[in-house]
Amino acid sequence: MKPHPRDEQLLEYSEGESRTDEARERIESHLAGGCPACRSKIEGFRTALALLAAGPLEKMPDRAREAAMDALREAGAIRAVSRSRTTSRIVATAREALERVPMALRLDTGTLAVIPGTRSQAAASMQPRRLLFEASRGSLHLQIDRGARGRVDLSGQFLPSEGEFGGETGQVFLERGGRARRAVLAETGEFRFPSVPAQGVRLRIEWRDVALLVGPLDLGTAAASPSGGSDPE
Amino acid sequence: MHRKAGGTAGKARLSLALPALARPRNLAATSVEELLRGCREGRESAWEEFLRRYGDLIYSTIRRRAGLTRAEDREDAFQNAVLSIYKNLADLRDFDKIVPWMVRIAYTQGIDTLRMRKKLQETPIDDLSESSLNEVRRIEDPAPPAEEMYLALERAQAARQALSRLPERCRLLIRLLFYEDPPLDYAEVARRAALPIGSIGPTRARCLEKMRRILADASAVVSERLPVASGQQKDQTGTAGTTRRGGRHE
Repeated sequence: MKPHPRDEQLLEYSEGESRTDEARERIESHLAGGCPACRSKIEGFRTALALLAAGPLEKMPDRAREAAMDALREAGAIRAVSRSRTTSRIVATAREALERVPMALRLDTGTLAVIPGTRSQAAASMQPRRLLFEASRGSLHLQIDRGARGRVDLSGQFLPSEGEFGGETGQVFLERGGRARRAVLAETGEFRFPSVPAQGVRLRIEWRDVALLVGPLDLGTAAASPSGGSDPE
Repeated sequence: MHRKAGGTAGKARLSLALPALARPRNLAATSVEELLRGCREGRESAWEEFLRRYGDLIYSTIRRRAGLTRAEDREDAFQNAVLSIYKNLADLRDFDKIVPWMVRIAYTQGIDTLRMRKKLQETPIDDLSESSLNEVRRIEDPAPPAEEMYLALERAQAARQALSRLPERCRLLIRLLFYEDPPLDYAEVARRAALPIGSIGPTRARCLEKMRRILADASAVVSERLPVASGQQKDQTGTAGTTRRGGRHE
C-alpha cells in the first residue's frame, strides 16, 4: 500500500478542498486500496467540522450567572459551607483577631435635594447613587446602580489611607439576612457585587489587620439610613 | 449572532428529514453524573461548575428564541431555567441526554418569559392579578423550535466541550478560523495567532486531529456517517460533507 496521506491532505479532502485533482485522486486511490485508518480519520474530521459549523455558543453574561447563583441560594439549592471544626476555629480566630473599625458615612448622593418637578429630578432618579465612607484606615467609595427586577449592582473602591495598594489585596463580604457573598479586592481596591437584591445589607472589608464595617445600608431606599455608618473613633 | 439554526418556517420543514442526523452525545457522561450528584447535594462548587459547563448553552437557547430582545428578559429566563433545572434534576435519568433536556427547559422558560413580556406590555401593572397571570400562561404557544435548532445547540455544546480540552494555542486558532464573522483570511489569522502564515495550514490540521481524537476517545458522536442537511455540501466523493469554514483561503 502507498504511504498514508498527511493529516493536512486528509483534512482538506474531508472539506472537499483538495488543492489539486491529482491530490484528491491520490487519496481516493489510497482509500480504494482499503485503508480503514484513513477512512476513519476522514469521518472524524467531518464530524469535528460539522460540530464547528454549528458556530459558537453565546457567552452567558456574568450578571446572569451571579443572579442564577443567588436564586439557587435563595431556593435552597446550595447549602451553607460546612467546614471542619478545626478549620472553622482557625478561621474564626483569625477573623476575631482583626481590628474592627466602623466606617462613617460622609456623603450620600441619595440625600442631595433636587427641586421637585424639575427635569433635574427626573435625571437624578436615573443616576447611580454614590456614597462615601471614611475611617482612620481608609475610605470607601460605593456606587449603587439600579438593575432589573428590583436588584442593584454594587461596586466600590477601597482606598487605604496609607496610599496605594501596591499589589496587596483583601476581601469584601456582602452580608444579607445571615448569608454572605464574597468578592476579592482587586489590586486597585475595586470590587463588585452584581445583581444584589435591593434590601438591607452590611459590608465588611478585610484588609491587612483590620475589618472595616459598613452598614446597615438599605439598598432599596433612595438614601442611606441614618445608621448607614456610625462615627468611628 | 451570525448563525441561527431553525429560525424560519422554511427551515423548520427541513427537520422532517432529520432522523438520520448524528446527535452528539455528552462527552463525559460519568463526570456529568458526578457533577449532578454534587448539585443535588447542594455543593456550591458543583453549581459553579455546572454553570461554567452549561451556562452558555442555556443562555444561547434563550437568546436564539425570537422575541427575547431585551437583555433583562433573557437574564430572567436564564435564572428561571436554572431554577427549573434544579427542581427537575431528579427526573433526569439518562445523563447522556442532559443537553437536549436542558435545551428544552431553557426553551420553555424563554417562551414563558416572552408571554409575560407581551402581557406586561399590554396590561397596567396594577391589573396583574393572579387570574390575569394565568391568562398569560394560556397564551397559545408559538411554534416549537425546529429540530435543527436543538441539533445546532447540541453540536455547538459538543464542540465547546471538545475545544475546552485542546491546548490554548489550538483553541485560539480554531476560534479564529471557524468562529469569526465575517471569516478571516489566513493573513489576519496569522497576525492574531502570532504564527507564520505558512504554518497555519499544518497547525490547523494538527489541532483538528487533536479534536478528532478527543471526540473519538470520548465516543462523543455517534459514529455514523454524517448526513446531508441544510447548509451542508456534497464533497468530492459525493458523500455528505460539512459546511466549509476555516479551510484554505489564502
